[in-house]
Amino acid sequence: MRIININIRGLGNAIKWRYIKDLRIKEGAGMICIQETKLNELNKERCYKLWEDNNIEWIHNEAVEGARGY
Amino acid sequence: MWHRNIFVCERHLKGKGYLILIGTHNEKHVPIVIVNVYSPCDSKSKWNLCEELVNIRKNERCKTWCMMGDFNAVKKADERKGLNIRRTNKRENIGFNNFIEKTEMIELPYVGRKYTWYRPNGNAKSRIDRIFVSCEWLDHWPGYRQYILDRQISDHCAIIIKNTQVDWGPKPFRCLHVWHTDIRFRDIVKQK
Repeated sequence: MRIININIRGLGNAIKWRYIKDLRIKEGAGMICIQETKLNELNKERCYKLWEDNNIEWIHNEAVEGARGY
Repeated sequence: MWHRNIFVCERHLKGKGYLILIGTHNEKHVPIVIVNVYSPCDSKSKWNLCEELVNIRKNERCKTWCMMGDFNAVKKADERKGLNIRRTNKRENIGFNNFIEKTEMIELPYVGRKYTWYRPNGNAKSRIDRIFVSCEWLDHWPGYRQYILDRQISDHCAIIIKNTQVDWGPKPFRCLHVWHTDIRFRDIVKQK
């Protein structure tokens, strides 16, 4: 069971998604825990693209009122 | 975020600074709990979060836990270094160590960098990102380590937990030369 953990400092731009995607493939991780997404919600298409698979799931705590998304 | 082949989530808990997944590991069919922590910086919220996590762990039936994230706290003074950094107070270290003790969890041994966060200009660093597991987790997944990778697109390093137990094959045969002088030696080795 391989898990990746990272405080990403904002998941707004494509480079960061790309980094996580490449790292996940390289390590063959089945789960990713991210802190500080700075997003209100995770875009479905982006998540599927990140995994290149639709058989995935995620739960996100949105970035509001000082909370920074994780 | 996870693949359904690996993990099936049955329920989750959300709170200020944490996200908890309760479900089943799909390959082993073992119930597990995954905790993603993002601790606030101010001490009051930080200790509230710790207390909440301790209570959740106490009340949760499944004890096979893996907890990771940005704790915004360190265990020892030398895990925070640099200029203009908030003086690491002993209270924070003691509080954090108490928290770890109360959750009855163990930090996985680490490989790679000592620090997980670097200020972009390089004048400060700390080890605030960690991965803990419970004894029950170790029963199912022994030999795991946390690999702290090089910093790339964030001021925090990515950490990966993975198993690194290597099968080196059969153990080499060793013996003392004098044993050969005993006539029973060959037969005993054959028998065993």
